[in-house]
Amino acid sequence: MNDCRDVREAIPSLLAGNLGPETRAQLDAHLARCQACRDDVETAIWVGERTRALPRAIAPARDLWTGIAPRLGRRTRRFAAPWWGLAAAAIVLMALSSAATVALVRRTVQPDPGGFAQLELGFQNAARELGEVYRESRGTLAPGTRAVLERNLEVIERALAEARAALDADPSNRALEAVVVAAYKRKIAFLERASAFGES
Amino acid sequence: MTAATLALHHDTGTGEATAPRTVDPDVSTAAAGDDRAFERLYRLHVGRIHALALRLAADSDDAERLTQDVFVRAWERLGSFRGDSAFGTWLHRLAVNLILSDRRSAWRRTRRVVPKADLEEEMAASLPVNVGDRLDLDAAIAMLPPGARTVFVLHDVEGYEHAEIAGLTGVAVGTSKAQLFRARRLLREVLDR
Ligand SMILES: [Zn+2]
Repeated sequence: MNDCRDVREAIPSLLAGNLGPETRAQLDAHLARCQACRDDVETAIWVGERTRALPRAIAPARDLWTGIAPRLGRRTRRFAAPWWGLAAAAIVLMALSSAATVALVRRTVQPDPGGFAQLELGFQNAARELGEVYRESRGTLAPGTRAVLERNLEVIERALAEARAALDADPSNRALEAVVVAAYKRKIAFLERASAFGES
Repeated sequence: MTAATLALHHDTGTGEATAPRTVDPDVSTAAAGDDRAFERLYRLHVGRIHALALRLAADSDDAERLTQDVFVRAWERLGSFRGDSAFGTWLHRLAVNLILSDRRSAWRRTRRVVPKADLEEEMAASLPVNVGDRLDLDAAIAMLPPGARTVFVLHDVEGYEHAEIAGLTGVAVGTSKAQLFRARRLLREVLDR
């Protein structure tokens, strides 16, 4: 290792402790007679120690989401609708129905052997618990409100059942799993809002 | 919110710790158009992206604007995310591309002709007078000349290889290596005096 360039190339391995004994000896011999390379190595170590201590994440001083949400385009407006808009969203999704939705999510989904059953169990438990909360509070709702809420819930449940039936017919289809997950999430989000509506 | 849904949110949370081949419901749900799922992804990743933008742009207003642009772009491009890397990795790469392209045009607009030999001097002169004996590394990074700062942040902070940096920035691999050594020397000079 006579060339200063070789030393520079070796610095990452030196820092990682990956140099073999022979290369290490050659490097040390070069460093003993080359001040410039000694400086480079010392500096790399000195800066490296401080760089490792840098925070990986720095929270912004203000909430930037408020400037992002309004820019998210058409899909946002549909989902940002108030609770009564959820039924419309569910209908739109049913109209698109499995084919289009599957095409949309297929690209984002990777195999996940075994994970889905557990995930679905979690969703089912959450939906059941929220369903109980809602049933407890529904007596406090005006009959008209209750009817609207329950009609919407029915639409969401029908979408879920349809997705679940499609998955039953094609159990290894990961894209359909994602559709089922999305349907559960809509049901849970709806029940959360409906329950809060009953409490207020 | 009930204990069950809290546990659920915890279980289905995403992040770089999650194996890339796991189905991430928030990612697929957001890709299907659910902005609340996307907001959860934003909350999870905003600190990482903001830190990157802050270090590359060296300006807190620019960093906030760029962070917002990154998430808007990510929403638009979510359909092209194939799940063959973790979502966090995909988002990070998208952020680097967007920020570098923004910086390139910013630097073109404001480029001053500074002889290379004067940069060290200029940087030393730009230090605040009363920093005491400890200057924050992030503050020192912000004072680096743009080219050296970009390579230092991407290589030493973010772990990119020189070949990747060359591909991202359009400089030669040799230039990237030289900029890295220059950046480290400058940082040590201003921090260690
Ligand atoms: Zn040398």
